[in-house]
Amino acid sequence: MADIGYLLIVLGLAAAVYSMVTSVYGVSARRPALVLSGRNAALVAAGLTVGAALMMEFLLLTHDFNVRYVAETTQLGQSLYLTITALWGAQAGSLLFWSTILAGYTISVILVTRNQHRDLLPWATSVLMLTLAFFLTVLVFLRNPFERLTFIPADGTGLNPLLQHGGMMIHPPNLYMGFVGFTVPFAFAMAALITGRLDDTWIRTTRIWTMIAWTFLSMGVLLGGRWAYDVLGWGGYWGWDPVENASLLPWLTATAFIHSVMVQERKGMLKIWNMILIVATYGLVIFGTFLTRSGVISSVHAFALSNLGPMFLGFLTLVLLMAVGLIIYRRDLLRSKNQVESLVSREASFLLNNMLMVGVCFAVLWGTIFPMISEIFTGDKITVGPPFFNKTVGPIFALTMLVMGFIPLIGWGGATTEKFLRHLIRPAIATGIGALALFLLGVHQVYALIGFSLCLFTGYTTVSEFVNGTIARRRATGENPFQALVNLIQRNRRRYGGYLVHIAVVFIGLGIVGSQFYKQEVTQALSPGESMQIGDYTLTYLGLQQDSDLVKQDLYGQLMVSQGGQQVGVISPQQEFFTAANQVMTIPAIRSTPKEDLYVIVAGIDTQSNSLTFTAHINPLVMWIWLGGVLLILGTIIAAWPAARREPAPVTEAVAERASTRI
Amino acid sequence: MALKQMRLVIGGMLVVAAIGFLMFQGFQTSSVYYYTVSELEKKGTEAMNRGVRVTGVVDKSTVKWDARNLNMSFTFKDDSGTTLPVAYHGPVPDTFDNAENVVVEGKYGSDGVFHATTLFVQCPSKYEAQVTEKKS
Repeated sequence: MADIGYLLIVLGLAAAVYSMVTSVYGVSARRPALVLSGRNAALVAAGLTVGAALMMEFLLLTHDFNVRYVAETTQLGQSLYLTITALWGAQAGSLLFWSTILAGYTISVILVTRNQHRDLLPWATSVLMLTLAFFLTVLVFLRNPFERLTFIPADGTGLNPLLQHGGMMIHPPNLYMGFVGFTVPFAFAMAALITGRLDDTWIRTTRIWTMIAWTFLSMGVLLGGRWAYDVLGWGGYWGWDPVENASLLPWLTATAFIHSVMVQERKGMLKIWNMILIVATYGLVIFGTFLTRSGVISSVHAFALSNLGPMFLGFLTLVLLMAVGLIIYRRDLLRSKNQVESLVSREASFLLNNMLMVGVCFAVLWGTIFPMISEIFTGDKITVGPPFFNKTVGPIFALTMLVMGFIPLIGWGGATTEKFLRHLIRPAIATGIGALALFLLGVHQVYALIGFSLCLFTGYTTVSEFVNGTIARRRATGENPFQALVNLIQRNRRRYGGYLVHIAVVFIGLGIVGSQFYKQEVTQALSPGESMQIGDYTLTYLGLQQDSDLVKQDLYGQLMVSQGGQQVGVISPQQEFFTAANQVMTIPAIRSTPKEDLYVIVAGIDTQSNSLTFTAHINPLVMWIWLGGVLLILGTIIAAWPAARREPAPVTEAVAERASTRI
Repeated sequence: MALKQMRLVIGGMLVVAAIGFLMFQGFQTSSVYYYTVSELEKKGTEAMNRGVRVTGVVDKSTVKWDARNLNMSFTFKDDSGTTLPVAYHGPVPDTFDNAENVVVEGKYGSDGVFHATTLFVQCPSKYEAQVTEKKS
């Protein structure tokens, strides 16, 4: 069976290459039959890739330990979901999974757009196939997931304990869906460059795919944070680890992209810039995949073993050269028709937002690859830790938040500074009052106060859009407030969905500011009956509990939690010992409230004195980050949902629009 | 170029300059040298009063762990036989026992001991275990 799996990827590679060549030749030579054949071959290549992934699942589920990959990622007694998710639990499988998702996107794109864009689609197909062919080449020649062992082990080693968590089901698929999804807009961008059809067709065609990819990537990043928070036990959700950074980098350029394409659609500006952003996003996706595969960043010395590095860098260089070459070749067609007229306009603020996003991206990229660069040029390896990222990225994100707050106050095309200032008065006063209240409540750290105030400001101006729009609509139509709100959003999904995402970002901002500036940490050794204090919590150690199954042994340190003298419940931080992997997993106990999380781990077990050493953290407002995540999905779905029909702008809406924009 | 365009360009340049300044500032205050054990040894006293990150292989026989007070000490060694005693206080990452390379960040004290404030384990490719043949 394993050999059939290998055969599937070999045939898949052949079909992908055939499709690429035939599509390109067919469209250049104007031979529709060949174009059709190329498209069908793409479907075959994608189908074979999906087949290979299914074959791998079959091998995993039947515990065919003769296959090296199965033996290294599963074991008897491993739960069903972990056995299924083992497909992306290690290198070879995760590359197969990457290819499979690309195959899924390819099939969807071809089926959805098959009767449109006859000139763009063959080129886009060939770019998708180029990417698929690259990944299948890696699988066929360098990392065969179907490789057999010379013997049949009685049991496998199991999935790495760090990966044995519910997050394994949702975090990697989300991230991959996000990463891989940007191949679609990239492919259409390349098609537009090649054919010279540089109006906004490619942007409108791929808008839905870009939004899908962006939503999944956002979720992937947030879920990664949540997973780290729930599992790694150091009390934080983001450590500026190179692998985390790799997932953030394309998110930043993609966020800039989905904003600046709006400027192109409305004003015909920023065409070159949009091309650069989508090329950068795709490049960073490949780069991120390379970073997480090759291990080149974490330790330059130890990973000479990995032969994937040169392959990925080679492919990346090739694609970037091709893309940049095309942009230069088409530079005349990419010239803008219009110019930004006013500094106080949406165009200008989107441009600023773009610069800030790309700035963050550049800073994070720089910090991530600096150790390599400095070693090449100076011989000394210089590295930067979380403080560099926090000090650099923090202020830029703060400024981004401010720009986001201005957006509802500024219309397209621009307004006079006077008008803008007039609309600024109410939000500014509200923010001032809010900041004063926070100060009186005890928020005395300057940066935290600035951070919270910016969140308040943006929250105020954005929520006002909904409130004013609803009121205006109610006046015009006589609907009840709820109906008016629903219709308001319904009539202009893109706009209000976008604002919901902005509110989600405000939530996330609140969570980050709160947890960065007001976290507390206490470590103490406790014997049964003793207690420790953190904030207004008292934690009393009740005793040790034990538990075990086939795969692991669990130790629970039970703690009674009291808050302000009131008992509020028992929490049990754990230490799990995985027998096969000979590894301990520290699982925190988290008591989450909107105000703050109480986060406790067992940091040490002292058998001599029969005591446990606990480390307790208080992380204020962390819950808002996850709530923001949920709202972010909701907002993106509303914004991305395809319009059922061409929406005429009825009078009432025009009224509501004017009333809520106020400029 | 129109006045408005000039203002836009100047605004953009200001933003770029500000980002550059932030990066420079962040870099000045938080960059650390990253050495192997023998590189640190070569630098000697030069490396003593600044933040340094050191990577090395832990000599497992030297690991002492006071689970009650969360104090750990061990010795780094490298291929050339250079050793470096390390002292650390705090929670230890779960993957420490299985780790090949460990990274510590802190200060190299004049007592010849590396006082680590951060300890982390780097084995990104180690999401995979190796199956070895066990004949039973």
